[in-house]
Amino acid sequence: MADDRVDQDPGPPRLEILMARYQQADAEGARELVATVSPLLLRFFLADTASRNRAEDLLQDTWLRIHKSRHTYRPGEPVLPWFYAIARHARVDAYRRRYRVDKHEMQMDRLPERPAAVAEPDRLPDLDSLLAVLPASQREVVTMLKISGLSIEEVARATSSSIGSVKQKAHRAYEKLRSLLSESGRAATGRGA
Amino acid sequence: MSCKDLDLLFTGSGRLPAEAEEHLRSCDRCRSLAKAIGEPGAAATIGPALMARLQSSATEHLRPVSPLPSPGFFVGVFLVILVAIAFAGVARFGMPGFHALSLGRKIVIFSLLGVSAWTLAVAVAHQMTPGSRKWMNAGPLVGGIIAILLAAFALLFRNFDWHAFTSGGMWCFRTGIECAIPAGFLIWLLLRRGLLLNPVSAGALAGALSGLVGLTMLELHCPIFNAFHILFWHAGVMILATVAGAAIGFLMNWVRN
Repeated sequence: MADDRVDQDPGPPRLEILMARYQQADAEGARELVATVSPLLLRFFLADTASRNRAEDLLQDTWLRIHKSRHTYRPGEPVLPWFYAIARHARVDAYRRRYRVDKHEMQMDRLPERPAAVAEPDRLPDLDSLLAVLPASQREVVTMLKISGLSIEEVARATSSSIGSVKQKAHRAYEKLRSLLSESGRAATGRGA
Repeated sequence: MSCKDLDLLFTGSGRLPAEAEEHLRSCDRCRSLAKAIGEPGAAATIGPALMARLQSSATEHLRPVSPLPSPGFFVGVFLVILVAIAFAGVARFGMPGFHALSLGRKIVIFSLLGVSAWTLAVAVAHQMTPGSRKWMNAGPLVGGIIAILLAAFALLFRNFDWHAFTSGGMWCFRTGIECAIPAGFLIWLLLRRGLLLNPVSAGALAGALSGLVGLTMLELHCPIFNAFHILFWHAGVMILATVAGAAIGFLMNWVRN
């Protein structure tokens, strides 16, 4: 688990330099920044929605907001919490819009459910299907910590909450995951016997 | 080491210490959790068409921008606005209230107003930048400040008399609001340079700060030391400004979505 960030984490100093170049209207820096940060943001959105199209829409919306408010990033501050704060806000706004639209639309007899990942009996469920059972606030914290590779301090900044609150949410999420994994382990043992 | 201790280590990215490894060997639940969250799943890949769209939207009409000044700069400007408008009001109406106050009351009231102004200014400045360090939640902060001010006024002014409550109070209330409105407008001009992720909180904080301008002016000017008068008509300026700020923030958010 110690190496899970190696391929994803581009390292804050490099991102901060790219962000500074973006603010100075360096097109090449901006393109590199988009190429580096977009997969992280898309992964963040995919952890919360089953629809790839919706996640891509959110990504585009987020980049529009980032572009419009790029002056609000202060050089020297951690850049990832800045990106994630804007991304989660874009997601909340989209959720509110969707909620308002859904209120005025006819409900189907049965809503399509998010497909559950099918785990092989002898394998642990993957992280995405585990995260799907967590409440949204806990899922967000674990996604940022374990998938996006943010530190506790960065998650606290991105979610406008305190470090203590982030630790508490992570602890509750891990407890829930432990119980879930124990149950799935027992079920697998039962099938094997 | 307990399972809870291990949770803190799971949130980090470094190698687990020997104690944690030892715990993992003896605890099945933690071992399976470590395995599950240690595999982050497939990285999200972005198609070339989408990537090109994102890059072109980021580079289209790209112009250099100046980053926002530090929060300290905005705190300073907010406090200058507060002092300037309060003193403009005093220059117009005079400050008989300040002269009539005892030294002890002056120290308590204006210390509290100063600390409240500084706290609110810092909180407003933090609202302008996404991902900035958590300061305090707007609701408890504004509620706490108003409660402390009300308690201080109730303790300092022991004259509970309803005489001329409305006739004497309306002028104070209207004048306080007249000071709060330009202050709110100037604060809003500065606030809109930032990105307000929570317009309701930002509006409530900015409204409270604007209301504090009106309250400060009234404390300098008004010579009526009646508890009901101060609690209702003076503090009412700050409460109304806070509610108005939150309502404007709510409307902005509603229109945006």
